[in-house]
Formats: sequence, structure tokens, C-alpha cells
Amino acid sequence: MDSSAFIFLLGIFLGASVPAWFVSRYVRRNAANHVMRAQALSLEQSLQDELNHLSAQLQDCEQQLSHARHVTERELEQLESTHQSALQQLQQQYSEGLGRAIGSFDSVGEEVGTLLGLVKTFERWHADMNVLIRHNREMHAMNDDFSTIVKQMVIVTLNASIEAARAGEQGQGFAVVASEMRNLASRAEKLSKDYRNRLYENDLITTTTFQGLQAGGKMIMGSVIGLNVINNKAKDALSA
Amino acid sequence: MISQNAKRSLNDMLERAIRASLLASPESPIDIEPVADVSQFSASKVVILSVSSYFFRMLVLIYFSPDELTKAHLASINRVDVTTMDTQTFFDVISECGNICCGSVNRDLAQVFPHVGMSTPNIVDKQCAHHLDVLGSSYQHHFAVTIPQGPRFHASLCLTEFEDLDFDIQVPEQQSSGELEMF
Repeated sequence: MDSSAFIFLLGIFLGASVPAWFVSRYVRRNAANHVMRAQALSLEQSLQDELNHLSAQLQDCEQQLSHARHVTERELEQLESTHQSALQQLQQQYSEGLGRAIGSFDSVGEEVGTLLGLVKTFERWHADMNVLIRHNREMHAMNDDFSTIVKQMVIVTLNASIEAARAGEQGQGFAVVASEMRNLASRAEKLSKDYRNRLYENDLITTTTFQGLQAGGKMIMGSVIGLNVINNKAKDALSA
Repeated sequence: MISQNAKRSLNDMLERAIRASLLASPESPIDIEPVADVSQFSASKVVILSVSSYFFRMLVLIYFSPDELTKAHLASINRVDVTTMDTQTFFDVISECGNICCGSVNRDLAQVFPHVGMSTPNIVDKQCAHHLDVLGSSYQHHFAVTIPQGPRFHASLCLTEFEDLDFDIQVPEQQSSGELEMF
């Protein structure tokens, strides 16, 4: 084969192979594009399905949420209603309790007011003590009179003894009587002194006993007045 | 039982009360001495007052004689004309002194005992004081009170306790006056 034929054949070969390469390449690319498109379509379909599924789920969730919201709102309304009712009941109970408490404070105040009337009892005791002291004073005076009489009796019996001694034998019987009288007068004098001491003792016991009653009464009155002040303060605090 | 602190407090209270009640001013000179018993007191009359609590009963006694010196002294500290002071006025004045004295003690005791009450004064014969023991007191203390150029008084406190007593009241040095009560 000569060279021209070779070149010719080479030219034919080259002339055919280049288009064939382009054709082949086109075919390969076209096939790849086709695969990719198919994959993209598949992926799109898959995404669409997923989207639809999610949309459905979202719708379910929204429905559930809406339902839950309605339930919650109903429960909340019921709860508010219950609370309102309980609150009203509590307010009513508080109001009734407050009324009872204020009533109790008023009752305590009235009782305290009555107790404060005890001062009249103490005043009566004081008046009674003055009567007793006056009575004791009169007994002192009577005893002083008695004591004076007894002293005079002692002098008289002494004089009688002297006169009996002057009478000698005839006065012996009279001397015995005078001696007995003097003994009696001496005993009466001692009795009068003891009685006077008893009267002083009685004065002290009477005075201190009634003073004890009076001071104790004032102590009680102080306590009652303090109780009244506390009661009034508590009532004012509760009423405010 | 009465503690030593309580006894000392009571003595201090009465001393201060005497200064407040028997002097024109608490700063005026006075001599207050403890004495053993009442038998040697020369006075003829006694002003008695009582202070009562749930825990004790206490008597305060001021011994005096209704003589001219005593009348003049009390007239001067109470700003009363001695020439117009009859027996009843004198007894009212000495009763008021006793009231001030016992009121001072009462006020001091109220620091420790919130519920105490005080009686009004009574005047009895001094012979009554010889029978203090019949009251069953557990503590007695007596003072001789000497006022320069003035009369001589005596005072006693006589305490009966119903519970053990243990307190310590610090008496301030000076205080103007005692409690005033109508009687």
C-alpha cells in the first residue's frame, strides 16, 4: 500500500473517529443526565412524600394542640370557678369569724366593764373597815373607863384595908373582905391591860387585813384595766 | 424565803422613799439608821400602808408624835400654815407623807412585779406596832430617821411572802416624788 492510500485511509479513520467520539461522549453524557434526572425526580418525590407526611403530622399536632387548649381552657374555667367559689366561701367564713371575734371582744369588754364595778365592792370593804375601826375605838374608850374604875377600886380597897387595920380586932373580918376585893381589883386591872393589848392587836389585824383587801383589789383592778386595754387594741386591730 | 438581794433592795427602796416623803427636798440632810426593834420608839402614832402582790404583802409604817416640832416640820415641807393646822389637817398631812413614801416603794416594786396594788393610809396607835409578829411576817426592818433641827421619826417595813422572793432593784440616787393617790 502506498502512502497516499495510507493517508487516505488515515484521513477516513480520523474523519470518522472524531465524530464518533463526540457522538459517544454525547451519548454518555445524555445517559448520565438521564440517570441524574431520574435520581432528582426520585429525590423530589421522596421529599414531597416526607413533606406531605410532616404536614399531616403538623396538622395532627395542631388538632391535638387545639383540643388540649380547649380542654385546658375548660379546666381552667372550672378551676377558676372552684377557686372563686372557695374564695367566696372563705370570705364568708372570714366575715362570719370576724363578726364572732368582734362579738367575743364586745362580750369580753362587757365582762371587763362588769368587773370594773368591783371597785364598789372595795369601797364597801373600806367603809366596813372604817366602821370596825370606829367600833374598836369605842371599845378602847370603854376599856379605858373600865381601867379607871378598876384603879379607883384598887384605891378604895387599899383605903378599906387601912380602915380595917384601924378598927383592930373588930375590923379583922372587914380586912379579909378588903383583901379579897383588892385581889379582885388587881385581877381586873390585869384583865383590863390584857384586853387593851388585845384591842391594839385587833386594830393592827383589822387594819392590815382590810388594807390587804384594798391593795389586792387595786392590783386586780390594775390587771382588769390592762386586760381591757389589750382587748380594745385587739378589737381595733381586727376591725381595721 | 427572801434572798439577801431582795432584803437589801427593800431597805434601799424604803430609805429612798423616806427621803422623798419626809423632806422638803431629797437632797436635804437626813440621817437614816437601822434599829433593832420598835419597843424603844417614842412615837405615839403610826401611819400604816400596805402593798400587795400575788407573791407578797408588805406593810410600810411611819411612826410619829403629834407634837409641835413634827407639826412645824410637816407644815414647812407641805407649805401649810402651822397655825391653821388642826389635828385632822395634821393627820391628813402625815397620811399624805405615808402615801408618798409607800407610793415610791410601790413604784420601785412595779419594776419587778407588774401587778402590785397599794392601800390608802390609816393611822393607828403606836402600841399596835408591838403586835407585828402576829401577822406572820418573815422579814421586818426598822429605821430611825433623824432630821437635823427637826423631829425624829421611825419607820418599819414588814413583809410576808407567799412565794420565794429573789430580786435586785437598783434604786436610783434621786427621784422627785412618790405616787399620789386620793384617799
